[in-house]
Amino acid sequence: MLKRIFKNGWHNFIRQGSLSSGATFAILLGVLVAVGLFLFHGLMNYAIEEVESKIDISLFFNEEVSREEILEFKAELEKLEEVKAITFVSKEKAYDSFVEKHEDLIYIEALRIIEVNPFLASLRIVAKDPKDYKAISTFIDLSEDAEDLIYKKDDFFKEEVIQKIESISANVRVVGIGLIVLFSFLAFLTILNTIKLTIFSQRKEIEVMKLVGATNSFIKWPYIIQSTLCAVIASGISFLVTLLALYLANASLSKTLMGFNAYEYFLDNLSIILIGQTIIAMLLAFVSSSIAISKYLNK
Amino acid sequence: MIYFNNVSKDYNLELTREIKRALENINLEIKKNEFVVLCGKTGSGKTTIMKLISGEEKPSFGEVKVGGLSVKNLKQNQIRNLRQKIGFVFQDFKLLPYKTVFENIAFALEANNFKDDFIQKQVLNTLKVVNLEDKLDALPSELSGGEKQRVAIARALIRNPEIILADEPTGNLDPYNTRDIIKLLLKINLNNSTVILSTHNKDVVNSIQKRVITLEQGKILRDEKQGRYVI
Repeated sequence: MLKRIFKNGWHNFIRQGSLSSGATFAILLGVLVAVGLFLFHGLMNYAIEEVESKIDISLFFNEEVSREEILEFKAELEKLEEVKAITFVSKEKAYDSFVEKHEDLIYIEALRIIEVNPFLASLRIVAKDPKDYKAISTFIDLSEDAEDLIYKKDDFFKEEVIQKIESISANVRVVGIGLIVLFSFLAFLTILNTIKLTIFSQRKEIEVMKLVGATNSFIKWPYIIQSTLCAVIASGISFLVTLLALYLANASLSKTLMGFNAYEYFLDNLSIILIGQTIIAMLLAFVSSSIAISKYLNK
Repeated sequence: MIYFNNVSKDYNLELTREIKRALENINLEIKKNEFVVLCGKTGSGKTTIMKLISGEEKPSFGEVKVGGLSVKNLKQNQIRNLRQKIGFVFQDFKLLPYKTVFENIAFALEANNFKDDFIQKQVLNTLKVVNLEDKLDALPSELSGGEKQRVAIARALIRNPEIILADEPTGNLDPYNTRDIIKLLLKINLNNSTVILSTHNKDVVNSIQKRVITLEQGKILRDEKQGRYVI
């Protein structure tokens, strides 16, 4: 029986070329929307991480403080559970990176003339969570060594800025999830209605099948298999189209999207996207065709 | 075999919200292996009688019994079992357009889980009866009207049904094909199937010399053993 159901589903798919193409196209649109939303989610996270990465605490040490003392203080700070990473920038490295960054500026010339390195060694502290900066800053302020060691503390984390970033991140996430839900629903409706129309066009055949004594499952499953085959094809097309489009448009997209490398993100998540979109497409096709056909079977 | 006891059937017309009576107080009995012709104008109730026999519709009043079972109380699976005893032939053929002649005829057997070898043998035998062995792989769109109707008859015959319901089977056919189809139905009747034929065709009714039930506005006007077409 199973073999016959599969055979009938396959015949439906092949012989009803225009209906199958229509359903495939509708599912393709739905899957493309899903992949687009996945990329949008990646972009959203990238943007939030980018903004969050701009926040840090920089400690500049007095001229006479030795490298060992700074590293000792660094080790002390690293014990804090709020700290994600601390980067030590030596005087020399600070000088070199300034020169590298501002090679064509006139004061680079001035630096060379005075033959003195005016930069101070520093630590750049990044917290695990933007909320943690306050605790780290307080720890530094209360530290006994801080006064002797530290020349200047730059807090790039103003309380209100962090709150704003957090609120924007939360809002962006809510809006993002809202858009994902909305577009997923619209994609589902499109697929449902296309498959409904496909099955509506065959309502007389369904009636005949019932009259000749076919069971509901013998009538229903070939249609579900037909839709599922459309879903697999749609998923494959969507994968190739997205891959090609991102490959070709990556350079210009990256500029527009604040440096977000969509092509790389796509490749990094290749298996999730491929498996995910196939499952989503098959699920949408399965649910839509089951709903659409049940109307005629229950008559 | 088939009993109608004071059967009335009402339809709710969705558009006008009126109730239309399609059949009124029908009493009739059709015996096993009988050949019965239902004739009457459009809307006289011929198709409703057929739908009540096949369980597509249920009577609003009275009782319809087929093979001893009351149609009104049948559950879904019992209706399916009933339909396996009935072969249907329609005016518009109602073939599955994306299936070949072989697949159209085999469908009823496939749906009931018969073995492939048996299906193959049975379909080929039935195609011989309707004289269409050479059209095995053709799609319905590649057949003439007469050929389509013969495929529909083959489909109806495939499970050796006890009853054949032929609703205006010659309505879309020329006289030559009409004669062929009627001959075929008479042959089927000789092979122990009850045939109920609904038709408008005066020549058909008058030529076959069988029981004729004439309907008018949902009522039986005449029921004659060897009737003629008189409306």
